[in-house]
Amino acid sequence: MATRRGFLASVLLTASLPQLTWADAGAPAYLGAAKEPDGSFALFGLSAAGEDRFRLPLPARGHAGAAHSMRPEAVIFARRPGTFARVLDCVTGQVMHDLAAPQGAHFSGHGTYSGNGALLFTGEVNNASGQGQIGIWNVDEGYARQGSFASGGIGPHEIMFSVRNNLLVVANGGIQAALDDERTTLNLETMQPNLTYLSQGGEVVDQLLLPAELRLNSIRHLAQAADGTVAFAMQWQGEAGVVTPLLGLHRPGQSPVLAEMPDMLALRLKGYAGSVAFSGDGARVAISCPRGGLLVVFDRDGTLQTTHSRADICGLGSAPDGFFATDGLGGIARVQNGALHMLNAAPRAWDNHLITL
Amino acid sequence: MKKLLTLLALAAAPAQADIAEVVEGYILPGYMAFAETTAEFGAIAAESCELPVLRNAWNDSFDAWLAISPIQFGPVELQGRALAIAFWPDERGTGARVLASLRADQDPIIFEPGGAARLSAAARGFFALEYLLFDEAFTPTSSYDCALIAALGDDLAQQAAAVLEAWQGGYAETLQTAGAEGNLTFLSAREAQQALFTALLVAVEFNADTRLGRPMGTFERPRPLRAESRRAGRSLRNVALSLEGAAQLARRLTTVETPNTTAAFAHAQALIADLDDPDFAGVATPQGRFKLEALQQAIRSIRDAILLEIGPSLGVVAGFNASDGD
Repeated sequence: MATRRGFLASVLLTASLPQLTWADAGAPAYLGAAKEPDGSFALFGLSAAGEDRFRLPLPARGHAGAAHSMRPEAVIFARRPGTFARVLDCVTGQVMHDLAAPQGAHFSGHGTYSGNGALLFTGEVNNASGQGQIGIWNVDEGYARQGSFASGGIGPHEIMFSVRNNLLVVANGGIQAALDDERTTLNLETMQPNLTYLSQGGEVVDQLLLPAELRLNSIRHLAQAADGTVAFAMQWQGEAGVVTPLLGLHRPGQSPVLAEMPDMLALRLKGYAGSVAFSGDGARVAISCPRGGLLVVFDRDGTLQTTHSRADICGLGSAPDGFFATDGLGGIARVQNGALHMLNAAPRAWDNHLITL
Repeated sequence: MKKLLTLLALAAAPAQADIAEVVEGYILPGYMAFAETTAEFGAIAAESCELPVLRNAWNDSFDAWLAISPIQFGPVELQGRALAIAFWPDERGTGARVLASLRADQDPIIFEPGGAARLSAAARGFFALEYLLFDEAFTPTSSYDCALIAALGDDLAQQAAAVLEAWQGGYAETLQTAGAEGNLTFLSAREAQQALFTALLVAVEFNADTRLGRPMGTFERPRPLRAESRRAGRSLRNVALSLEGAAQLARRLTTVETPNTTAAFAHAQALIADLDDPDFAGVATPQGRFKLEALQQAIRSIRDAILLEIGPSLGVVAGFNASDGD
C-alpha cells in the first residue's frame, strides 16, 4: 500500500507535465480488466513479471480495450451489449472521455486505434438488425465522433488495425444476439460469420467466409503477426459434442488454414476459444480455452504443438519468447520454452482479455 | 458479488485440502497400478497372440487407466501422452484407417525402436488395441498383425512407465509443495487444490456429456455406434470405473464431510449396477434411453454436489470466464 501511495504521489507531481509516456504509468506490459473481491471492477496495468503497475476503477464490467501506441491512454469497452466506452489517462487515472454508442446501437466490446493513433475505431452492432458498423473517433479532437461505415457483416466482435496491411480487420461473428443477459442467438438459421478486411475509408478489400459446414462457427477474436498474418479464434454455436476448428490463420487474398486438433482434444475445449495471440517471435500462435481449462499452442503453420492446463484461463497476450496469460482465479502465467510458469496470483478474477502494450 | 467475496475470504483461510492424502492415497497408487498392468500386457503381447489372453490383460490395464483417468494435468499431458494412451472420441475414424494401412503395407515402422511412438496418436494406446483385439475386421491373421499388437502394447507400457516416473521423480513433490518458494507450477496451496478440483469436475462432466452424451445423441436420432469401447462391450464399465476414480479423488480432496457428494456418487453407482446395457446399445429403444438419461442426470447431480460442497470447503470455484464468455 505504501508503495502505491508513493506511486500516486509521484503521479500527481508529474500530472501537469506534457507528453507523458507509458513509462510514466509504470511501463506496464499488459492491461487487463478484473472483478475484485468486493464485486467492483477495475483496470490493471501489469508488468511483464505479472506485478501490478496501476489500478483504475471501472464503473461496470469491462470486456476488452485498446491502448494508444504512444500516449499512456487506453480505451476500455463495456461488456456486450454495453453502450459506454471510457478513455482513461493511465498515469493520473483520470477519465479523459466517456464515449457513448450511437442511438440504436451498442458497442461490441472491442476497438482499435489506427496505426498512427490519430483515429479510434469501435465495433458497433445495430440493436434491431444485428448489422455491424465501425465507429470512427478523432483522437486528437478529443475523441469526437467522425462517422461510421459498415463492418461487412452481422454481429462484429473484435476489430484490429493491421499496420502491415494498412487495413482494418473485422471479425464479423455472425451472431444476432438478444440484448438481455442470456444473449440468446436469434439467427441460427441464417448465421454466416466472416472475416472482413476494410480500408480506412470503409471499402471491403477482402472477405473470408468459412465453408458451409462451419457457418455456425462464430469468428470472434483476432491477433496479428508482424508479417501481416491474421489469426482468428472461433466459438461454435451449433450442436454440442461436434469436432470443430477453433483457430484459423489467414492472409488477405489467400486461403485460410484451419488448425486441426485431435477429436478428443477438440471435444474437451467444448467448441470455445476465448482469446488468441501470437508469440513475440511470431513462431507460434495460441488460443485460450477457458471451458476446457487449456491453453493450446500451435506452430505458425497451424500444427498442434502443445497444451497447458490452467483452470479458467482466458486473458492472453504476446510475450517476447512466448505468451502471457491470466485466468478467472487471479492467476498470471508466462509460457516459454514449452512450459507454463505461474508468475503471480492476485485476489481477483481476471476478465476475458488482455491488451499487450 | 457477495458470493465471490465470501469465497475469496475462505480462500485466505488455512487449506482444508489434504494434497498429500490425494497424492499418496490416490494418484501414486493409481499410476503404479496403471504402470504394472500395462507392463504385464506388454509382456504378454510380446510372447503371445492368443486373443482371450490378450483381451484379459488389456481389460485389466484399461481398468487401471480409467481409475486414474480423472487426473488430466501434469506428466500425462506432456508430449501428448494422454492422447497416445486413450484417443477417444475418434469421430473421423483416424485410428482404424491408420491401423488398416499399416497392416496392408506391412509397414516396418513398428519394428524400429520407438517406431510405434511415431504413429498417429489415434493408432496408439487402448483404443487402437481395442480394434486389433475385438473388431473382426482386424482379427490377427499374420505374424505382422501380432507384431503390431506387441508394438502397441510395448508403447503403451512405456507411456505408463514414463508418467509414473515423472510423478515419482518430481511432480508429486511439486504438487505437495504448492506455495513453497521456487515452486513455479503452483504458487499457493489453493492453486494445487484448484487443479485437483477442476480435474474432478471435468472427469465427472466427461462421463455425463461425452461417454453418455455422445451415444445418446437426440431422442429422434440416438447414436449407439458412438459409444466408447462398444467393441469390447465395456462402455458402461468405463463410466463405472472412471466415476469410482473420481469418487476416490473427491473423498481425499477435502477434510470436511461431504454427505451430498458421497450420496450422489452412490446413487449413480447403484443405477449402473442395475443397468444391463454394457455397450449402450439400448439407447436406440425408448426404455433403454430412459435408463441412460436417468444415469446421465445422476452424474450431473454429482457435479452439482461437488460444486456446492467441495468447492466452498476449499475456497475454489468453477471459472468466471468458463461460465460467462463472449
